[in-house]
Amino acid sequence: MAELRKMPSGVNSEGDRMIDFKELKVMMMSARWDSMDAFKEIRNCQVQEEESQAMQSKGIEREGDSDETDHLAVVVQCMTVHKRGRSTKEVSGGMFGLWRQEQKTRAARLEKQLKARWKIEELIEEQLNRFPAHYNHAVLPARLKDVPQLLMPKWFLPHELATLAWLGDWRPSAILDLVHVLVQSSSFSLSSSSSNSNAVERLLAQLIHEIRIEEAIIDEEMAEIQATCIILLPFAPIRNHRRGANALSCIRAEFKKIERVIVKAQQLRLKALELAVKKVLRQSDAAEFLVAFAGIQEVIHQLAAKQKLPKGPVILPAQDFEGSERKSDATRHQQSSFRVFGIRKSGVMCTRP
Amino acid sequence: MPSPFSIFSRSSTTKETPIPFKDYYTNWFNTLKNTLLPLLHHSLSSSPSTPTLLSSHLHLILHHLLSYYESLDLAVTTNSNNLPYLLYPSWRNSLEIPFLFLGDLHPYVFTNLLRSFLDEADNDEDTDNDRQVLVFDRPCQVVMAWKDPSKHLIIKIEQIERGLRLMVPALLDRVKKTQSGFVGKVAEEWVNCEGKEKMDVSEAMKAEMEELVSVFLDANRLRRSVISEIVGALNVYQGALFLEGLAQFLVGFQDKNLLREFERCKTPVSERVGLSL
Repeated sequence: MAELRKMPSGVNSEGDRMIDFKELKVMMMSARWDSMDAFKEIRNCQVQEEESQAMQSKGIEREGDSDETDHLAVVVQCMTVHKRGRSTKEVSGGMFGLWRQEQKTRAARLEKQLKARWKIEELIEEQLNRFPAHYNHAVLPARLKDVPQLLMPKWFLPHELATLAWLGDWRPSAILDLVHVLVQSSSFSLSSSSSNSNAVERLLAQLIHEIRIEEAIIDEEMAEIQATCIILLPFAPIRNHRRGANALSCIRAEFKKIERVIVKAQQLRLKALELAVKKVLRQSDAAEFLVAFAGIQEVIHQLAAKQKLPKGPVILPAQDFEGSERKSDATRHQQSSFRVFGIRKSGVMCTRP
Repeated sequence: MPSPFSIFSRSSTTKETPIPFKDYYTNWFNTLKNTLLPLLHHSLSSSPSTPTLLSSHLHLILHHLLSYYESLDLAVTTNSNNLPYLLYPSWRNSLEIPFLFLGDLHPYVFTNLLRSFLDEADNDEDTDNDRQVLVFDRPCQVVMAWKDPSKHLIIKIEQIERGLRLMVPALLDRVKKTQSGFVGKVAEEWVNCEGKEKMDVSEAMKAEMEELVSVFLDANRLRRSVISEIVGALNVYQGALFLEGLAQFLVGFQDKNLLREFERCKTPVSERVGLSL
């Protein structure tokens, strides 16, 4: 019995009371294992190993491959090796109890890891779901006067709108451009394998191309509305709009078209996001991308706030420009040409406040 | 006591005090609405017609319209930080904003207005539209201005339209590339700085603004040149009617009654209740 107790410690070169595969081999070579008890222990270990493998494969199936999965795989492999290592006749019941305890602890850690990963998945889903909710919220009240708000949302500062906005929010292809830069960086796990990284880059390039085409189509639709407004709005010089229709219904018809374009743009934006998160990136990369997306928006917002001109843009009026509005109608006739040419010749000077 | 000569000179403070662009726009708009448009309207309606006076008033309104684009250009070349405010002008009302293309009217608007005059002349005999009623009391040269347009004019319009078809998408493409380049630089900075704390993208934003300024200047140059070329290709009556139409359209956006009705309307634009995703 004492010899049996010594056996594992005899092969455990690190003195950590854990035997690795090499140590196990040494122990196995030097031991006989012919009792039924030992066989039962092996069976037990095998069943537990199968369970562990099933858990592992479940994890992979749910979340795809990643660094964390690799880590988990190592953990599981170690566990099974250790289990096999313990499955000798010489291993005592007490030692087995200890191993079981260890195994339970490791399983608990594994479970915790898996739960954490499911949590990430939930968070990604939640984050993605926020976008359509946000867009719906933005679109739902769509009365006539809300439509311009969708194109120039108040929560965007002027510099944000100028640098990023396309029909009221992020340009869909720019979202994928952002993914592209992040994928190229070493921070994403998929770039650890060059062949995988190349495949992702190819997929991304194709998606960016497709999204840009869709953007161009939406641009065309908007251009058509903006170009024909001089014919279709109720105060158009030549009234080609529907006969008998009142002014507001003409405006409504045009705004309805604009709203449709905005909705298409929002759908395309969401599509770009979903493609990035669900089709291009692995789970951990998707989470990292969403963090970067939110962080970058915040950085740009803060910078835009710094650039904000408190009084808006200003302009130095040309000579006799301001006062002319106060002059009588009779003198206006005489003055207007002077003023107009005055502006043109002297130029309107503009300056920061 | 003021110097006896002070009445002949403007004080330096008055001369140098900048006014908000919003106020400049209001003044510019009021001049168009209250002075130049009535002048042109009057000379188009006066009988017998006086082509010289009409030409003079036509050029007044033309220069007034062009001067606005020059002011926009000067505002952004002086300070590129003005650009976002001019691309998204808060002083334009809710009715106007959706129709703004890079801060002002879409360049196609000008050619479409011209086309609508020519088309109307074609359909004139079949219709009794509002325009006829409006111009009924006008001299014959004005009423008949668009009848049988010259071949030269048709060729010129087609030439302008071809140019626009090339240049407008190119402008949009430049905006797209600039925004995409900015996002790329910001993302690189994010990766390099490993997070937002140390990030500095002010240089990237400055570079983007400068590029967008050049796009904005080109958009204004395009609008200016289209208006000038159209008026250049038209005779004095056609040119006056074209600019009158354009000015009326700009004024129409600020029709107080229509705006009030627009603002008060509570009916949803469409029946749709949400995005079908």
